[in-house]
Amino acid sequence: MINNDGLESLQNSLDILKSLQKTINNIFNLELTEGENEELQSCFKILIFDDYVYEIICPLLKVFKI
Amino acid sequence: MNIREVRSRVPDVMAIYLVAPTEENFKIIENDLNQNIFDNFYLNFIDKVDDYIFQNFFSNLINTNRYQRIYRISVHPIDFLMFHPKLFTLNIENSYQFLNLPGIQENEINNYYNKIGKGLYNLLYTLKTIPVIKYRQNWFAENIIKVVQDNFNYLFDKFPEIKEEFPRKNNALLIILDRDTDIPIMLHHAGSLGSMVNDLFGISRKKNDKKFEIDPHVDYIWNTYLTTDYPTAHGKISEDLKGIIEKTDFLNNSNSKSEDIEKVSEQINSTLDNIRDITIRQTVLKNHANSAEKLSNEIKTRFLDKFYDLEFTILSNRKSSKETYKKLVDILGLKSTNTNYKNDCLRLILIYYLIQNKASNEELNNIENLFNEYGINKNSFEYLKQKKSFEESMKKDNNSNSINEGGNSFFNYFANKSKNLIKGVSSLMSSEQPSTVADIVNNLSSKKNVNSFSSYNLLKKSIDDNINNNFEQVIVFMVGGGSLAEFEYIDQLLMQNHKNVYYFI
Repeated sequence: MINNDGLESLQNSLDILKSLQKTINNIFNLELTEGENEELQSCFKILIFDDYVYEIICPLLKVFKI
Repeated sequence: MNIREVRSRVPDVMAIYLVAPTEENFKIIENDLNQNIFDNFYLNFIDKVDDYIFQNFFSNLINTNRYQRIYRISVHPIDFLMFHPKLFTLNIENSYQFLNLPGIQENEINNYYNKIGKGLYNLLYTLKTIPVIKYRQNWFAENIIKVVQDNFNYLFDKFPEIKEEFPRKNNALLIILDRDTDIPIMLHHAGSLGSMVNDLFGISRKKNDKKFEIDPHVDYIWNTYLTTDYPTAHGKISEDLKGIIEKTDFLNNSNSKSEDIEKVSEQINSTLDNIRDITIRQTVLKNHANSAEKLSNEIKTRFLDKFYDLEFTILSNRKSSKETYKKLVDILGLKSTNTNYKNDCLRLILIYYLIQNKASNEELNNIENLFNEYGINKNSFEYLKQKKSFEESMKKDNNSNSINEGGNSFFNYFANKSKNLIKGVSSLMSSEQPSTVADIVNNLSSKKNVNSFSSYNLLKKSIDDNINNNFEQVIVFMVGGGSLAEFEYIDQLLMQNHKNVYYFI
């Protein structure tokens, strides 16, 4: 959750956050376009990351409640 | 789950790895595959994978059928850290020290440039922008630009559809500068919230007992007031804290009259609606209030306001005088008992020394005496003195045309670096302000010509000195490291000219 002031201050530079958000969402949605992967889409998934990646994405994980 | 955690088989689960493409991580993934830990593996890397790592990985798996469990392998170029929506790091520590190591090898410098080129490409990819690049002529920025260009070429050759996501015109400017363009600013006690927090505590994206934890997604104080002077930012923190207390104060007020019950009920409902925002705001403010208390104490006991004032004057004037020397001695005479105070004194003396084009013997003696009189370690001063003397000798060689352009490239690395440094700073400053880099960035991003800079067009894949746009989006990378003090001055100057700046520390 981003509060109003924070959101306002971020407006000018949200491109990066949006792009990172898109990356994470794409990864979790498996970038599916074809029906044959629906089984994979609905299966349980577990995210595995290293310490450095955690540092990059941890705030995003909080924001997007992944 | 952390990749290092020990795990046993988890059936019917897809493991989504999102990791750096290191040999160590590939080894762990290979182990997970061999042990059938998960049914499906989706491998995501935050940077391009080196060919030899892929080759090793698959040559070990190819004789088994385990590789069939790999659903997909993707690369998402997000290998950079964000400290603020405009502030990033490639996480390369002590880069200036590294570049100036006496025994540094050419391949080590090339690896460093390669890492920078890949990091810059990652940011540009994430921003979805292909900028014009401006850099000092006859300097090694070309090596970095080549890496950026190669990465874009590879991307568009392999995935031409991605090109549609990028604008067809260069609407941003990337400026690559050498740290030696301005060293004194790195020692400066700057006055903004961000500079002071970073200078006094350090900043981190992870929970850390000593460093200030940055969360650019919720910390509206940090995002809004990073480059604002500390007193103003401090005032805003106090104001917001009061506001939060007033908003929730009615909950503690047990003396409400019966006729106020309706009003209190309304307030409770309103507070409950916003409880999540209020909680986040409270946490952010509490974090800043705690650091503000420590900051105020440091400012008071280390006389940081006096350091800031004098350094600002010296850096803005770019010269010293008898008056500044006297003020410097006065500050050294304050003799604080704070353990960091001697380091503050060292930084001030070094700024005073570095700002002088050529110190006279008398001035050098005066500076040396200061170190002795106040018991300050002078190793860094001796190093800078040697460096300056080396640069002077290069200048003489340069004047007598003894630098052989076609000779040893490693020698030329230092020769070119020094040649540019010597003719650099003073000739490039066009206005009186503390940061040389801020001044250069401001001129390069406007329609002003700056001598000895070239423009490279990533779309045309060639040098293109005809481009002289009035860029609104500017990305600055300092080879050898940046500082929040420098970012503060760049951001303030470019904001006045309605430009948005991204910066790497």
